[in-house]
Amino acid sequence: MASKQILKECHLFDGLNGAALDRIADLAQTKEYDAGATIFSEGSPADDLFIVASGRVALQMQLRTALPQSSKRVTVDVVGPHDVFGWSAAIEHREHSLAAVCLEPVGALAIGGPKLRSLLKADQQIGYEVLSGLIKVVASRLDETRHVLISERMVSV
Amino acid sequence: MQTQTRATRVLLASEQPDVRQLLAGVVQREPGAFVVGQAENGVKAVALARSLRPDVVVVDSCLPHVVGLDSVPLSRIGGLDTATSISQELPAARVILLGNLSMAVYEKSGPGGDAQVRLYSQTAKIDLTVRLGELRRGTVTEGEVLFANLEVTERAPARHKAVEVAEKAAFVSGLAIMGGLGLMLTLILAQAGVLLALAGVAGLLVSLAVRTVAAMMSKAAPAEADYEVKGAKKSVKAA
Repeated sequence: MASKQILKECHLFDGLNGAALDRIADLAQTKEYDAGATIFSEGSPADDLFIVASGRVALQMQLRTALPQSSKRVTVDVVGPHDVFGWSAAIEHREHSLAAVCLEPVGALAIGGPKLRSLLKADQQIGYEVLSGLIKVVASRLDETRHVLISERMVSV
Repeated sequence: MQTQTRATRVLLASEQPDVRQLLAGVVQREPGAFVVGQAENGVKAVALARSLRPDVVVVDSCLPHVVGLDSVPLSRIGGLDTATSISQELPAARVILLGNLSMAVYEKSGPGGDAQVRLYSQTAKIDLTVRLGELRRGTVTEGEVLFANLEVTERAPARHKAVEVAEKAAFVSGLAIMGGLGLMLTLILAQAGVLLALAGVAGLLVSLAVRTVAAMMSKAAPAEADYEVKGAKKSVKAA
């Protein structure tokens, strides 16, 4: 699938017109991953923002316990086609707080974080639309996390 | 002394009864393999794996971690964690995480469907299509979760020979009917052609006869039209 089409189907870029999508598509490259592949690890530099074109990706967090041998990775979310992950790369240069592991063969669009941030600063209209879309994505994730929390707390009481 | 082949004991984990039923059907078709337990969530799957110690564990990646309440939506993100936990606790077991399982079951499989499991593993460089019973002879590293997709191949139902013969006879009969109709059409057209030729001959004879009669009549009486014109010219001059 062409980069522009993948961007068009992602809610993060809902507010952008064709010309703006072209400018972001220029910063992106398509990538393919095998099932079981780790796209990025927890603590690695957040260089790219990813959009899933096909397949599903588990976002995992390391659960640290007092005993190192009993610490394990816990899946906190699973993202699928049209979803965004690694979105902290759009805001500032930092490390990934989660690991991304492919549950199936995955096709994704990787957008370079530094170039994207430069574009968002240089063109305020694009910057406003993308950051508005990002807030919606983050709010939606928070909502889902609340559901998980409630779901699992309800059965434990 | 004969070497005794131990049976392959399989544990299935999926929230969906249909998915578990399909997988149980796949296992049943494997010689020497049988299902020792089924779990509808991750917590139960890990508990059953501890107590039953299966050889093969097949986990749907869309697995809820725990049992939910009807009024609260379940998170179905527990498949990978369940597979990893079991793989760590039972390193000798083959733990298979099926990525597209629910989709394959609902979109492709039917009562007569056969299924194979395709295994992907980036670290072990594996991309194989195998049956569950063959997993014990696999070359994968112990303690590793295998990421797999379910490939469902359609299998045509068994047919009675008489049905096949009858279908062939019906086909040949159909051809005979079509040929017969073609011949009939040809004959009808041939008859029409004879009538058309006769009509043509009749028309030719009539036209010849008319022409002969007309020629005889024109010899007997000069053309009146010519005469009248001359007469008119004369009358103009006279005026």
